[in-house]
Amino acid sequence: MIQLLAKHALLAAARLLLLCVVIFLILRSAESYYDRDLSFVEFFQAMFSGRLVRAPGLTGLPPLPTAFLYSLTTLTAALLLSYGFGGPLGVVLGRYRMPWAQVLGHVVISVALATPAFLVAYVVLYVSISDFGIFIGGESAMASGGSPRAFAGQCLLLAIPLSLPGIAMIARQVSQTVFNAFPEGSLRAFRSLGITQRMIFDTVIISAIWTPLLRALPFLLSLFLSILIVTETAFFIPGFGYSIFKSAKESDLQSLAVLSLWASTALLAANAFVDVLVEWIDTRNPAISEAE
Amino acid sequence: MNLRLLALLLALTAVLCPGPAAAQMIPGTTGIAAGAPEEQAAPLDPARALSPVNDVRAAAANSILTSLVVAIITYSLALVHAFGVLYFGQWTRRILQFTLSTLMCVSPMVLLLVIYAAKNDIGLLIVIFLAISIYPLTARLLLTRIFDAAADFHFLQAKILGHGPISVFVGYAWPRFLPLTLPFFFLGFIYSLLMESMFSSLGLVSLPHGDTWGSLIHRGLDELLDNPWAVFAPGLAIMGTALVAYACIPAFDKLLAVPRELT
Repeated sequence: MIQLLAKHALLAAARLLLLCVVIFLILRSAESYYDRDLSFVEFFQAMFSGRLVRAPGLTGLPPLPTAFLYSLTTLTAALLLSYGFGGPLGVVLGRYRMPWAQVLGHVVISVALATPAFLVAYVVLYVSISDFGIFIGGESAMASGGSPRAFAGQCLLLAIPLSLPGIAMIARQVSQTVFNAFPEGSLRAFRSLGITQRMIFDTVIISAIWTPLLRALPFLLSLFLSILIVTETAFFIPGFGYSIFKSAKESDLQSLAVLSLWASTALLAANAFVDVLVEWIDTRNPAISEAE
Repeated sequence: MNLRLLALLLALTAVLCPGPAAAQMIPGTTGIAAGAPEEQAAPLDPARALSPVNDVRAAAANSILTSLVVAIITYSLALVHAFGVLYFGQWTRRILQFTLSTLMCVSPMVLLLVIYAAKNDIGLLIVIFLAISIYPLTARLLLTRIFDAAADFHFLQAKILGHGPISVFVGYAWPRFLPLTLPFFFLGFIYSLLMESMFSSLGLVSLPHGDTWGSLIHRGLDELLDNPWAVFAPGLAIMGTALVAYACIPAFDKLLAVPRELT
């Protein structure tokens, strides 16, 4: 386990270093970079201390702790929704091969593909509702620094459209795994042998779906981070995505670089975490270990 | 079977893309397919220019062709990557895997950073950067699919027989990879369409060759409540194109007769 952790920590450090070098070179080649006198080591330290992001209030960027709180809560809620709905839906789709289940699966995936159009409808609906004075939590969800109810409402508001592609992706991955674990006709054969559905579910499905669920995590995070820019900007929520939008709009290259690097570091950590966990699960699985 | 495939491709092109002639007939079109400089374009007819449907039709060539080019680049890179991983030795494999995992961590914000570092003036290079930001996702899915069927590939024998990588790729790997991986071309197309639309609908990315559906949404957002169709029409066009591309996956699966256990 220690060897595994050390290997992935080294790989993650190498990737992070490579990313920092690339971003440093991009910044040095740009005209609008204003901290030119920093060496690479100083730049590396300043990047992670947050010093390179301009002071809040000067450029209209939201304060960093608020931005992180909003975005982390939203991302966590979106991940919970994706796994909470996508996992069971995937099991149902893989387990029940009736036309209704297949139609349901395709409808969910189609809705996920239609996210941009859906988002627009969502914004129009939201603006219309707020126009009539109906707000989540009984007060304007667009105003920052509201009550906890308003904060929860804002985060949930963003998490719902974010989770749609997540639900579709998880459902597809899980249903494919369940489908591969039980080829056509195998379930009937199990039943004729007297093996209960509960036992099949416990022993086979639960153990088979872990890897695809874990593997989907970096994909989901990458997808959510990109959609977060759209949703937070559309709803004027002062989160991480909105900060990125503001930095890009004001051509504040330095802040954009820092925020990009932080987002990439989060993805890097998620990737390393998943790689360690998947390798650990594989080494614990006797079938895979023997095959290797 | 090839004729059916060609017919389907032609039908798709006709449905999805208005084509050069149609694009030139529509006033104000500055698409890739139109190929006409802006100063030579016919003067705008106000009645038609205001119509969201006409705008959507005029921007269709730009949106679809850009996404198609991005998808082709992404798919080709992913195919070459998969072949490299399977054909070459352990060190090449490790380097390729490391590159892919590193690119997986490069969020689309780095794409924005590059674009803004170049003052939003990188021209058609934007297509390359979009492809780089989409490539890891396609490559990872494609590799998983190909690895499932890797037992069928006999690269070692081909290497022993003295065939070079290019001849093995063209003569052996490509015909076998194609039916397995074609769905990911469509997924890549959908993903690039959505990514481009997302960034251009915020006004963060603008393509040098004219309006796309995303930029129409960006312009329409100012008058969302007065003229919602200026936003809904391009949104529906994006949704429709994504759904058509998604519907192509099972059609191509059947046409190319992919073995069921590998899907």
